[in-house]
Amino acid sequence: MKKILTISLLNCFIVALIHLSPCSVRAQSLSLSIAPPVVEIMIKPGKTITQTIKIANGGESTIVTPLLREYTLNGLQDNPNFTRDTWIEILNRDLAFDKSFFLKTGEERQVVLKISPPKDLAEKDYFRVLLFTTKPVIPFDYSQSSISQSIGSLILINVTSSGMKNKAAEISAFQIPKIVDSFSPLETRILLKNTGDTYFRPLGNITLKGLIGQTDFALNPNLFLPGETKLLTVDEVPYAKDNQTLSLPGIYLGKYTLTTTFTLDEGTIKISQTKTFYAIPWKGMAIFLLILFFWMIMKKRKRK
Amino acid sequence: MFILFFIINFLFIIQNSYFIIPVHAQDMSSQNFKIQGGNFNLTAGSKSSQHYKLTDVVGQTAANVFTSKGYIINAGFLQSAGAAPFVFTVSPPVVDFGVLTPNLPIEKNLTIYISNGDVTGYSIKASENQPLETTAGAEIPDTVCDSSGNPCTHTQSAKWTANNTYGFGYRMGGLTVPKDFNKEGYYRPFPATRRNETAVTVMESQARKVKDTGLMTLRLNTSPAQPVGQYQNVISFIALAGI
Repeated sequence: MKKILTISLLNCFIVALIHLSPCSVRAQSLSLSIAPPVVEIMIKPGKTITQTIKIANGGESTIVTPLLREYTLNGLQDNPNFTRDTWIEILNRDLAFDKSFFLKTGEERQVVLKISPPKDLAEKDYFRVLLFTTKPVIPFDYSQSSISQSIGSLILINVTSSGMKNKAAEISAFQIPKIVDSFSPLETRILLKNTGDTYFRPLGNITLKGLIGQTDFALNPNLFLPGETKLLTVDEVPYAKDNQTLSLPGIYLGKYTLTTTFTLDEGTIKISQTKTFYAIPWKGMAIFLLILFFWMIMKKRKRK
Repeated sequence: MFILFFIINFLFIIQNSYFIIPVHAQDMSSQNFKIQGGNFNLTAGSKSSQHYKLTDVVGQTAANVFTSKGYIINAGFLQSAGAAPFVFTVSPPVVDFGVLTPNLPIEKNLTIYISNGDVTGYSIKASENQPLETTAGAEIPDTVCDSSGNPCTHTQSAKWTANNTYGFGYRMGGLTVPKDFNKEGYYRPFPATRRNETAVTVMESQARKVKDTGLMTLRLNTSPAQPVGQYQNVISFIALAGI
């Protein structure tokens, strides 16, 4: 009876351990999460909207400061000359920009943003980041580096009275080798430039078509700001940022076409370009010919 | 009897632990959008012209919404941003260098974890507020690495293994870190905001549904001439997703 009781208690403990363990909280760490990480807004001047951003703390209790920063082609800017837009406000009574608040372990706060571009505001894109920055711990009496963590929600605001957007783009580079080795990945470099006045995300595919079939790689809908040139990347295929190439794995033989087709967001502006290449096992053939060559030489020498 | 009871209990644990099938609300998704149960609204499509884009949801045509209400917000539908939060973790929150001994390099690790959910891409940038400094103003310089002719910079690492090369720097390890860290023993100095230097990318990806971990190794080596004291600074990390 005692054994049965012990096993039952042990079971209860194991089940409780499995189901009740707080997986999302990480001790001895700074761990903030934010949702949504991206907000895209199209708004008429003179109108007002509100948007809730959730910030949660899965790490140590910390002091957090909400900030509004500018986002440009060079990324997040900590420009001292940037004046915070007065038409973007925090509605919460107990929260304000540049005013710190305490966020306990496991706590979540909802920050309500009010966005109300005035009627006389220039009609264009405004890229902002609602940034939450943790205050580093007070230094102790030893040599140390304290860590400060910032996480942001990207807010892309298009102020327009008509809803019209001048979207345009061009493929500025489409490079593939004419001949590739059958057993090597295909190294491609497709650069896209945003030549319009507003941001977009490319939605489409890169299609690899051979004699016996085709493969589609879905493009990552990465953000292209006006004037920005970036590599087109695809899901789950590694790319080398340093030399800006995309490696498409596979075994190739014969004639192939590589086509990229996409639209700018869900619009009707469609961009497509195709290149042809040939795949032969030239590395294998070269090794075979080399072996054959040496074999013939050896054979000749033996005869002599 | 006892064995039977034990087996039943064992099966009970297994059932509780491994055979819980996750229950999802009605989800609709395509390559470009995902509507979860919480946001369920029949179906979706898009309306557009060459210079005009409005995505509509049945029963609430966006074009009409924009005309009548004057705004449209996408905070989850098109980029699936509402599905999962963007999580960013740095551990530990303080790096203790302990007692500094001249010509004896100290290396300490920081673990960086990121999960960008369903949005595309992320970037993590790092900087320091100032070089390691005491309250009296003594400073450990940022490293220039071993070769003075080819010093490491904020954007290009170089070899730093000699015990008589002094300073403070870092290297990165992981799948999405800058490629110049591929070589063992290669370090960079931090850009300092006090010198108006901009933060540099230490981890980056263009993909979505990424869960990446990076390891930052901080290295500190002091010279015999370094004044005794408690040297301190702040290292800042900034993470953004959906880029």
